[in-house]
Amino acid sequence: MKGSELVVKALQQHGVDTVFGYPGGAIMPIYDALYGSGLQHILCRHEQGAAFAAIGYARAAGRIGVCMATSGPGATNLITGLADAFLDSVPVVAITGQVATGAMGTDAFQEVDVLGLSLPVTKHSFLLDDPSRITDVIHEAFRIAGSGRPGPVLIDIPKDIQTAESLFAPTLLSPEPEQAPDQCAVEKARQLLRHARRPVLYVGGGVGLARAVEPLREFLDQTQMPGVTTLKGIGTIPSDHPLFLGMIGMHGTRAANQAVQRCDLLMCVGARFDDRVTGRLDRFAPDAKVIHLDVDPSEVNKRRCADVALLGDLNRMLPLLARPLCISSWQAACRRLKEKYSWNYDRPGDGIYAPLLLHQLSNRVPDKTVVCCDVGQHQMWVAQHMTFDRPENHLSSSGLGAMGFGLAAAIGAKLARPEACVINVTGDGSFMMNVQELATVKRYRLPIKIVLLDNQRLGMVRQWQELFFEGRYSETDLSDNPDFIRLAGAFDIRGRRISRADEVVSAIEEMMGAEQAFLLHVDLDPMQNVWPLVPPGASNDEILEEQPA
Amino acid sequence: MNHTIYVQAKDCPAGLERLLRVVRYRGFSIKSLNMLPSQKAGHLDITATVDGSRPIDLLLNPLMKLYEVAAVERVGQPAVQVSGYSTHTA
Repeated sequence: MKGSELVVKALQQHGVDTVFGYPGGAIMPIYDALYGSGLQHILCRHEQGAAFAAIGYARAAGRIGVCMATSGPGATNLITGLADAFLDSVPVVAITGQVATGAMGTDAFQEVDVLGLSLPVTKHSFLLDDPSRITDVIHEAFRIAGSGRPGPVLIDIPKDIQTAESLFAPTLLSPEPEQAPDQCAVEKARQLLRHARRPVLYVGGGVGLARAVEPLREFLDQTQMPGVTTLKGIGTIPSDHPLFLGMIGMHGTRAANQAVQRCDLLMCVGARFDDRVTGRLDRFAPDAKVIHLDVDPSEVNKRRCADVALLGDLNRMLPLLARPLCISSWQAACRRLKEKYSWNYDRPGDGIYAPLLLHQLSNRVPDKTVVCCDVGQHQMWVAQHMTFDRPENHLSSSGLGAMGFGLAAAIGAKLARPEACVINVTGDGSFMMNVQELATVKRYRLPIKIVLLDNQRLGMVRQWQELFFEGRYSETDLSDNPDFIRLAGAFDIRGRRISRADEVVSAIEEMMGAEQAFLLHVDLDPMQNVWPLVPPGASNDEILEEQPA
Repeated sequence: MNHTIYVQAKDCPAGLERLLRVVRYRGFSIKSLNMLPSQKAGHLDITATVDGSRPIDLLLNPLMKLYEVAAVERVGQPAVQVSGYSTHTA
């Protein structure tokens, strides 16, 4: 059997049914093996789109996403996607073709040192230089990508290895060893919980990745502890939970930030004290002791020292700490915070207020809808004003903040969960970053809804220029945007453009009723800002609100 | 501040490169480096003196997660073995 056929067979052995990619010279043998193999290949129109689609697939389905590209530019175009998967801990296996082993290191056509490029953005990477190791290496790549803290793994395969003859050696799949929780640490954590008077649960994306949403919710039911989430943790705590205070951090709610600043115990679960969460670190939750639960030892004590660290599987650790707490006065205080700082959607004028539109959209989508965001103001508005019941239903490029993520991720999500409604909420800047993926939407007739919030600006940068750069709007004007409805039309995607508040509900209903892909193009006032906001470098106590006009 | 660290790692392509990258990225610089075949078959013994102002654990923990790394030790301190549960992400 040829090496290329071994690659396809090994992928199928791992249950892969869909791969995302783009062919080219150095990976042609693998594409030849894909032909007629039964493995579905989704041709994206840029390797970055293929990587983001694999991420969307992985995150929406809870499986390992697979993408592939040729050598040189194909591989370099994958790198941004791998960086996104790395920073958001998404299990992805990327396969790149490479020039033949004899040509490597000679600056051959479309040769680049992919292994070298991959080092900072992958959990691990392999250069496959022996055809007899193909099955083993692919097996190991899947094991690494999906185990512990998930992440991307790259396999670079020279062309002569793809064409060499070798034998298929089925690999026995064995479960990962389990680590028993440290009983001494468990007892210390229980003591801290017992003595806490103002505890807050701080939930990150690690809970969803560990498939520990149910134990987390059971923990909340038992403890009735007020909870906040990170951007990636959204959906982990039910949005209607009375003690869920919202997202924490730079654009988090005032209630979430105030509760964390006042707490005497912060229980961090699957989160990493990211700078966008903590604001000024030395003033973050200043009176709090910290219990940190994570699968990754290197996150403990990295930015905030933990009084107790529990390392391992959250599914095993959370039940050990789920005990009722006596914190009724703190619960009441948090409920008051939540009520005091609830969102106000009253806005004068005929224009469209983006937070209200997203709130209205959120109220009109079916259960299990997946929302894929791009990056910028609209991303923060989605996090603030749409509600989610599961973390796998809110896909956002959180750690890397990669504009152009949303449409491609929506393609992956729709293929992973064809029964689910999939919506890409994007901005005019982000949409143009991977607009070529409209061709993928057309090619596979994917009924994805696109909500394009168009303020004719790079809105988040413009907002910072207004607030922190004295209104010097350097290179953020996009008022020469194309006609997005005609652009979508070129890909046979129907759309509607709205600019008045009284058009919003009917337009949302038209979009949701469409059986095919649909673009809702929304004109916004360029000066709309995201509030509240913790200024860069400031403490979360110094949160800014919109000033009355 | 200088620290001397010992790393035992599988002898495989890009292994040393990965280790050096982590040292740089986590805010340390190499002052001296010595690498020899280990008594453990297929492994290397790497001893390095690194300089940096951050706590040394911010380097040792990511090093322990590297796929190739079998053990990390701060010379003069107890060895830390990589468990079967480590996550291999640096």
